[in-house]
Amino acid sequence: MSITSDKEFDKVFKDRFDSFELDPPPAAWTGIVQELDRVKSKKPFPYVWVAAASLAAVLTALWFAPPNEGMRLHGKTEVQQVPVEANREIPAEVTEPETTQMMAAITPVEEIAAPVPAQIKSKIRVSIEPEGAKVEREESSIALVAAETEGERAPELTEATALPEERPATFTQARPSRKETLTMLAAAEEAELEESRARRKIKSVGDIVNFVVGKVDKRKDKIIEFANEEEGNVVSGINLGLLQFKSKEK
Amino acid sequence: MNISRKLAVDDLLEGCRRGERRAQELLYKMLASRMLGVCTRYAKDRYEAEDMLQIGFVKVFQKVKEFRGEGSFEGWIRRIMVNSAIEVYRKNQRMLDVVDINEVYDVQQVTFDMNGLETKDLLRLIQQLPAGYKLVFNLYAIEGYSHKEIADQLGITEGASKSQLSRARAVLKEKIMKLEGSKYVDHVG
Repeated sequence: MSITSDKEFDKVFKDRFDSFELDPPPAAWTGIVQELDRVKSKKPFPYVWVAAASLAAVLTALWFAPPNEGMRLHGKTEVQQVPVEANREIPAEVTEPETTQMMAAITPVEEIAAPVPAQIKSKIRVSIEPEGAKVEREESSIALVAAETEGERAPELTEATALPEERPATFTQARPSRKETLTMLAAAEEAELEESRARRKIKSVGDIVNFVVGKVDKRKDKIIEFANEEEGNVVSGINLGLLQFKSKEK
Repeated sequence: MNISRKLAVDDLLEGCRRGERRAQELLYKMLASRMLGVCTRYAKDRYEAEDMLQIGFVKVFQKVKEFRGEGSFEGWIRRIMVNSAIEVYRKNQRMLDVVDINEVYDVQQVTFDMNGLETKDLLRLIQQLPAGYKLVFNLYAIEGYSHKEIADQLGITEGASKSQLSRARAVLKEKIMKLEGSKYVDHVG
């Protein structure tokens, strides 16, 4: 058969290949089955479930989140040594009103070593105190006021180095007329201490007991008091009237 | 296709729609050889043809629920095989080696006899064609697609489809003449 046109040419190929067959290898069907099983087992990523779980987690976190509390800093007792010129004299022109102003300017955490008696020879220590130290300072202030009333001088005052807890005594000794001011300071510190106790974060069973006892027992030394230590809650203070115990670390 | 075979293929349709593995296997055994014959014309070798066959049958079983019964089931399967061949071609060659219609030169019209050529020889000639020529020649000459359908399917212009076909014929004729040797005679005209 002679072929001249493109149509005839194409027809030859069509006739030859329209029913053309080739036997595939047996592995071809195995490959198809494996591919079908693979596609079947490949489930789509559960975006909806992931979104729902995330939302639930966020809501749970918000539900159990503690109320927003202000940040409170608890620093270590840090002692700075400030050299003071030996035998420094208090200026004569310092008058009582000025001293009163200076007293008012003193913050609870930082004290200035300016009105130091001449007896202090070499150094004084300025202390940045944590809240816990206030109790001792308060006790010291009250004790010194009492001592001053009796006309006696606190024994610590004669020492060359004045500790921070003894600072109010220094003022008392230097200015005997400041008795009322010191009493007010002591009262203010007492109120502040009570407030800080009330604000204290309740983290453990000991804190709960402290809170309840604090509401019932208004004494400074509670009938029982717990402190949070590394090993857990420990009894830091007991006050049964005659029988008293108080931890030094408190 | 004889009537009994057509009936058998249609009988397997429902089983395949239900995803029955037995029906799928029977359908495959019934049509695999013929479909491999289709794929082989589009492939460069036997391995590529088997890949096309595998891809095609996986699609057939995945999409069988979409078959609405318009036309024969076997014809639908065959189109899926052709589409799989086009997909493989696109993967292998991102750009069609399109030849513009203006670059096609007229091949000298010849008369030759193809009766002496075996089908396997013709298959080899087709497989040796450049990929773009092979694709368009198969689609137009053997599958019976129009140039518009080919252009839409491949994303080319109708002119490009025509030029590809023209070049494919020219190359095939040239090679057939070489095979036939002295059997062909120049055609006057």
